Formats: sequence, C-alpha cells, structure tokens
Amino acid sequence: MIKKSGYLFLGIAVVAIYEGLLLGFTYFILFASILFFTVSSEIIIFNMVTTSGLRSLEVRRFVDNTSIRKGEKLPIKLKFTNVSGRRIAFHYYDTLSDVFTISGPSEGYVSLAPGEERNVTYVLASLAVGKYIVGPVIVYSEDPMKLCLSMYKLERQIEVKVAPALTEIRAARTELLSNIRYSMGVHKSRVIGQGYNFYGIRPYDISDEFRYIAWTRYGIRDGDDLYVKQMEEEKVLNVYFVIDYSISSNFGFKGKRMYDRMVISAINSAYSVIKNRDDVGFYLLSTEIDLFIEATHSDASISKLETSVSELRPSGHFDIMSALDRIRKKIKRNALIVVLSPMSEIDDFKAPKGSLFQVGKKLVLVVLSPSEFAEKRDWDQNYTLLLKSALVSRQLQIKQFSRTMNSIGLKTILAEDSTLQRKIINEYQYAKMVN
Amino acid sequence: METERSEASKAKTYLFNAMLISPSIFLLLFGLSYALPDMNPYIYIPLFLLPLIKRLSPKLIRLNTYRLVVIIFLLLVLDTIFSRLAPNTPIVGGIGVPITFTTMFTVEICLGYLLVVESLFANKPYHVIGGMIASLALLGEIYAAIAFLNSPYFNEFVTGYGIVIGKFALGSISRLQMALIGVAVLEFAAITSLIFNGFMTFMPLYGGSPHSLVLPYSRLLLGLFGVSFIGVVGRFYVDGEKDETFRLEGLFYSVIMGVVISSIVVYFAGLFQGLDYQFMVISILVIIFLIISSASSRLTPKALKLEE
Repeated sequence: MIKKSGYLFLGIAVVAIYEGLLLGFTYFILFASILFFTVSSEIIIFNMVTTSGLRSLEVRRFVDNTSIRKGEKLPIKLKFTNVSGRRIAFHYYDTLSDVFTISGPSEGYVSLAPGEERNVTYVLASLAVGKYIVGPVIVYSEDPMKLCLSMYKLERQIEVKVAPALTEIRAARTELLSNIRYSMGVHKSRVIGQGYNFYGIRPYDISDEFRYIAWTRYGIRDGDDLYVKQMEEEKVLNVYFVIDYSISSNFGFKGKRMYDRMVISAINSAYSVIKNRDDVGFYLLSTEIDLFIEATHSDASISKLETSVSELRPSGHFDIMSALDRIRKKIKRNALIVVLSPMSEIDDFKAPKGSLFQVGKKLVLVVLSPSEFAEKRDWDQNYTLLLKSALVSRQLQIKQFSRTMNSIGLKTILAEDSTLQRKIINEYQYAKMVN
Repeated sequence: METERSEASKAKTYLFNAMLISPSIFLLLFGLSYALPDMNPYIYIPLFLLPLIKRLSPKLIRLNTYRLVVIIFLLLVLDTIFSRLAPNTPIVGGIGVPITFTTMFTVEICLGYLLVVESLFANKPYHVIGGMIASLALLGEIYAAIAFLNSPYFNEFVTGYGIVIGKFALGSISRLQMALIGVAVLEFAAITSLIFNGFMTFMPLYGGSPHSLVLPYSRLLLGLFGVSFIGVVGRFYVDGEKDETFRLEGLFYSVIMGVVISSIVVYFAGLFQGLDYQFMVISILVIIFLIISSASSRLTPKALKLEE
C-alpha cells in the first residue's frame, strides 16, 4: 500500500518533471526523471516482491494459561517461521491493552532466512481486573524510503481473564487482621434472644424455661430468688455491594482504574462482612451489564465475583434511578445495600419526585471521587491547570448531587480511593448497630 | 552517549539535506550575485533574517511565523492601495509596500531563499525534496532570466518590450527584471504552443530552440544534480533504521532501475536530438508508471482478515 507520503513524493517528482519541461531545463528533466522512476520502481518492487514474502510468514502464539490474577506474570511466546524461498525482514507487534505492563520484546524487528524460525518470548502482567484481548500479532514492512507499507494480521487473538490479585485481598482474608477487626467492635448487634454470647441476667418469670435458670446466682439477694440468663441473639445482616460497571467507571490510568478499585474495596469489605457471620452478595450494574450474585454466608459469592469480573469489562451507562429500580426488583431480603459509583453521568440530574428513590432497605450511595484517578503530569503546566479546573468543577457537581440525594433521604457519602474501604466498613458498622 | 548519537545523526541529516538542495543553493547564490542590486532592501533584509527571527522566537510565534508574515505583507499591500485611493486618511500613516515589479521580483527571490533555508533544516525527506522542487521553480526562472540577459536576442526583446508595453505597465525596471519578463513570455509561448500544436517550442532554457542560449555553469549544475540525487538516497538511508541493511538492497535495485529507465526515457523522448514531442512521450511513460504503482499498491491491502 502506498502511503500518503508516497503519493506526495510521486506528485513532487511529476511536478519536477513538468517544471523542467516548461523551462526546457534538460539537466533538471533528467534529474526529475531519475527521481520519479527510482521512486516508482521502488514502490513497484516493494509491492510486488517484498510484500509477497510477508504472505509466506507463519506466526504462532503460545500461552500456558489464559486465567491469571492481577499483577501475575504471564509469559507469551511468539514463533515466526519463514516458509518462503527468500529472506523476509519485518517489524512486528502484539496488540495489547494499556492495562498490561510488558517486559520483553512484544514488538521488534526480525529478519529471517528461508526456512528459519525465530522464537520471541515476552511477559505481560495486568494492572486491572477484567477480560482483555491479546493480539492479533501485526506484522508490517516498509520500503527503505518509507513510502509504502504492507501490514498483515497474522495470529488470532486470545482472551486473558484477570481476577483480583491475592496481594490486594489477602489483608482482609488474613485471620489475624480480620479477627482484630471483628473484636474491635464490628459485631454490634445486641438483641436479646437465642445465641451464644452472654448478655446479662434478670429475675425468673414463670413463663421462662427451666434450662435458662442461672444457678450460680440462686439466692444472692434474699436466699431463694431465681434468675435467668439472657443471651445475645445473632442477627444476620445481608450486605449487597452494587457496583457501577458502566464505561464511566473505566476512568483512570494504567494500574489505577475506578472499577478495579471499587471491586477490590468491595471484596475486601465482603471478607470483613463474612468474618462477622453476615451474608454478602454483589450486583454489577450498567445498561449493558446486569450480574446479580445472591448473598451467601460463605465466601462463595466472593469467589463468584472474582470469576465474573475476570470475564467482564465495564460497558454501557449507569443511571441511578434505573439502578434503584433494578435493586428493588432483585433484592427482596432485608439488607444493607452499598452502591459504589463514580456517578459520572449526573450532568442533568434532577431530584426525583414521589417514592421512586425508595428501595425499602438500608441503602448507602458511595460516590467515588475521580481526583486520585487522574493522571498527574507535573511537567505539563497547561494539563495540570486544566485538570485542576476540571476536578474542582467535578467535585462541586458531586457535592451538589450528594446534597440533593441526602435531602430526599438517600444517604450519599463521598469517598476518595484511599478512604473508600474505610467508609464502606463505617457504614456497615453503623448498619450493624441499628440492625 | 544517546545525545552524542542524536547530534551526529542530526549533523548527517543536515549534510544530506545540503547535498539534496545543492542545485537550489547554487542557483540562489548565482541569482543573488546578479539580482541583489535590483532588489528592494526594505523587503529582502527582513525576509532574509526571517529564518533567524523564527528560530529565536517563542514557540507560539515560531509555529506561526510565516502565516504572520503573509498577513502583515498583505495588510501592507492593502494599506498601500488604501493610501492611494484616500491619501488624506490618517489611519494609513504612509506605511506600505510599493506595488511595483521590483517588489514582486524581490519577493520571488526571497521566497526561493526561504524555501532553501527551510529545506536545509527540514526533518522529513519529502519536505526537503518538496522545498527543493519549489525553490527550483522560482530560482530556475531567475537562472533562465540571467541566461536570457546574456543572449544576443535580449536587445531585440528590450526594443519590442519598449514599443509594446514598457510605457504603460510596470514603471522603470532593470535589465534583469526585463529578462525575467522575457522568460515569462517564453513560458507563456511554450504553453500556448503545447495547447495549440501539441508540443512545446519556446522553452526558456532549451538549448535547441531558435534563440539558443548559453547556460552559465551548466556542467557544474549537472554535477550538482548528481550530488542532489546522492543526497536523496543518503537522506533516506539516514532516516532508515541501521539494522535494516537487507532492505537497503531494495533501494539499490530501485536506483539502478530508475537510472536505466530514465536514461531510456530521456533518450526516446529525444531531448538531446531536438524533437518536439518529449512532453507527450514523458507524459505517457509517467502515467504508465503511476498506473503500475497504483495497481501494485492494491495487491497489498493494509490489513488482511484474521487467519484461522
């Protein structure tokens, strides 16, 4: 294929020929003719000879495992084989998402003798959860004057599923830490009933069962008074994390993306919830994604979420009113619902009238601020000023939205990336207290 | 180390640029040696300093220098016209560009100079080649005017010019400027001949035409065009990647093919034999090669479908 510069060059050479002809400048005509015929010959030779060699190139990609965890290294081997009868020289690159960090030659220049094979291995690691496409391998060649380009896609693409990293969720899974959290007072439910924890004693009543009598307290006041033990009843709280999985939650750069942080924070919080013997479920929502994971008493729902997010990419839009409607329909049990969203699509938001926003359950809307997800470029003053201005404006917008939602009775809190999990746990603790 | 390498590469680039535009540089110097006394210093001094001013200016001005100059120049021309139409209007203030042939003559040479200087420091090969071709169009005319000035037919032209248009059109002009008008007339005649006869007969620099000219430094120019061609190849070599020696073999074959084909073309076009159909012969061959190039391009689509 002739590039624009090729056509431009040919055009210049043709103009030069006619310019020489108009002036009758013989040497100039000779020079321009040599220039034109050299360039056109080069184009023809490249298109008809060099390019045909590229068609005879075989490329294979070898990957041991397509399911990895975030940050885990995945070696990818490319094998180039020249099955033509002449030498082939080409550039190649594997098409990769920007969530991958790459070490090794994922792109380069290869020259192969007839029948020669070349193996190239590079290693990639994902910076975010989700399903990402690796490939195809693009092979291209340019003529020496860089006027033509020949480009081929030579290997099928593969899908790499990236689950959350163990290093990020291990803290919450570690027994020690979760036990500390547990004993620090997450467990606030103090309702008298049947349970294992001792609550106190009260005087015996004729309707009390005999087995609850606290014999150790018998006759402590007047010799024959009886008391019964009161136990603290375990009340299970269902917690659902509703995560905005719209395209706007894909905001961020390299290793820091909103959807990824929301998923990690939800998983970490979910482990705390499970340790507290409560049920946890998830709901990934957008106009294109509707993935509901029923609350379970074990970590089965978390495992299901990990698998699910490794096969999903944020897409579609997120509208809070339709999300509330879907939550109302899906979650029938009494529960604490934590909605995690950057709320990026609230430009024309107006407070709803009536009871449209009511879901009949404890609901907290946690709005994630974009300020820690914007790429910093200290060397670019204009960019920094523009970013600062945009973030201030966005922050004001979120605050206004938050005030509106709070005024209609829907609890809304703002969170930064660094404070997101702490705020979720705070809301959970509060819900346990009032449960 | 990296900086040293890039400095060396830059120096090579400028060297090949200089080789590439050496015919233009020569024509510029040769033209200036004749034309400088006939040029308007109030125009050429600022324009000659323009590349230097551009490089010393802040980025915003640097990127728009030539646009600004064109706007200022056109405003000055408008101001001049306006001051002629309404001499007492206070806005014009006497600043303007004299609308004379000397001004146009100066601007033409200055444009050639600017193209040469900008091509010398251009980064992309086709910018250099484009600049060279454009500058050759302007400076080639000055070269032709100098050749015409030294020809025995020039005096006849001066007499004819004086009788027909000299009194009315362009005020007092120098002999070189008059020769340039002569070149323009010959070019017009060549195009007219092409349209009505199908061939060109009055090309200003064509040695075989009736008013045969003696071209100054013609052998040197031939050598410089050779140097220029080496510069083209060298420029692409510098621009290419060094480990791609294999690909440079392709360039070698192309150069051989280009030289052979153009020699055949020039031979058959009869340029050296004085035939008049060179325009048609060259045009046919150029079109054939353009068609083949374009057709070969279709053989190599940008991207094939995924192979199963």
